[in-house]
Amino acid sequence: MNKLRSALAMLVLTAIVPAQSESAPSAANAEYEKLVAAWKAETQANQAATKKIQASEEFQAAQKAKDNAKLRELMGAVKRPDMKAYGERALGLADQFGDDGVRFLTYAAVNFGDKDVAKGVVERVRAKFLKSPALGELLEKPMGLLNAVGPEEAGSLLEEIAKENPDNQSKAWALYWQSVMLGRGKPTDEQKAKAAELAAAAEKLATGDLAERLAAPRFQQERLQIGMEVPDIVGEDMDGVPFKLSEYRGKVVVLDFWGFW
Amino acid sequence: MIPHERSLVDRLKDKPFALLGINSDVDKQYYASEQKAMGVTWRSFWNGPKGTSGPISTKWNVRGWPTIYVVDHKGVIRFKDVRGEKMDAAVDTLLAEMAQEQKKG
Repeated sequence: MNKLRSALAMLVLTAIVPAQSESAPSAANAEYEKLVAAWKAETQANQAATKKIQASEEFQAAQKAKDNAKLRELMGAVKRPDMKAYGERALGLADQFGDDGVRFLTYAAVNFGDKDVAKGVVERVRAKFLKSPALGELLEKPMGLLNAVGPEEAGSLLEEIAKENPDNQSKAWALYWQSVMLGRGKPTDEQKAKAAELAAAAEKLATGDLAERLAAPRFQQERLQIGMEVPDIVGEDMDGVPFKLSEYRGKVVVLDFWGFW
Repeated sequence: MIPHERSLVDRLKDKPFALLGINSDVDKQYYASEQKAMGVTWRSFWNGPKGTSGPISTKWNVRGWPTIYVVDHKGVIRFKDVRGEKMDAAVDTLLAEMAQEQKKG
């Protein structure tokens, strides 16, 4: 009887598993896209409402009069996107989609700077994703998350990832952020030495973007000082037309790292 | 910020001068609408879909925005992080230097 039951269970499993592994990622994709689109719409509406207020006569008059209380009141009336609600939605989706859930945690970590949401993300990473190679994505922009949970919790989480995760890039990110956290504020000599050690360990493992980032302080030191020949920039403009900084040799050039945001 | 740069670009439009941006907007559509509204006429490299974490600013170790470098006509970095009137003065100095050299040469 037991044998029969397990054989039946096997049959059911083999029937369901392939179907699920095909449909779950696309269902997760669809939910992910919905979440991203909804959040984008909220933030755009917020930007538009802010601009509208700022252009109003009332706001400009208050600005002229340096009436900060009035300015705060006017800005306070703009409806802010509810980070906590969106964060909870993302956490719920992460639970729903199991192994495909890590992307929701990443999105929540990067976009929703809410303490409880951050706590929820960290709990779930600890419980399920310490060894996930997909964690690299979350580790690209974790500063909001790390700040929200505080330096101690952040430090121990990063340490666990660096230890547990088999993926070198994820390890490297975790080591890198540990070094960043240690080097912030006014680090002691001991902290500085430890930070340098962690960064060096990260550099050994890192590839791609992170390798570039780890090499950046040296690049700045060795190539970007006053009196040095400017390194070329090869890229494309906002219309997608390729061009190079060196095409402008013979002109005085102001290089301006900027954005509207 | 932008109005200042716009006036610098306007004032020097007949000089051997270029203001080049490294733009870190993620959304090119948003960029296009703002560009129009703000009268931005200068060219920018796009820092890619990762915005301020894009490849150019990462390589250059840019930590604060805006970050400014002023390069002379020979391609040498001469000033860093000059803004507002200091940016104008830096550019004027380098243009004068260039004119002087050409007179001699």
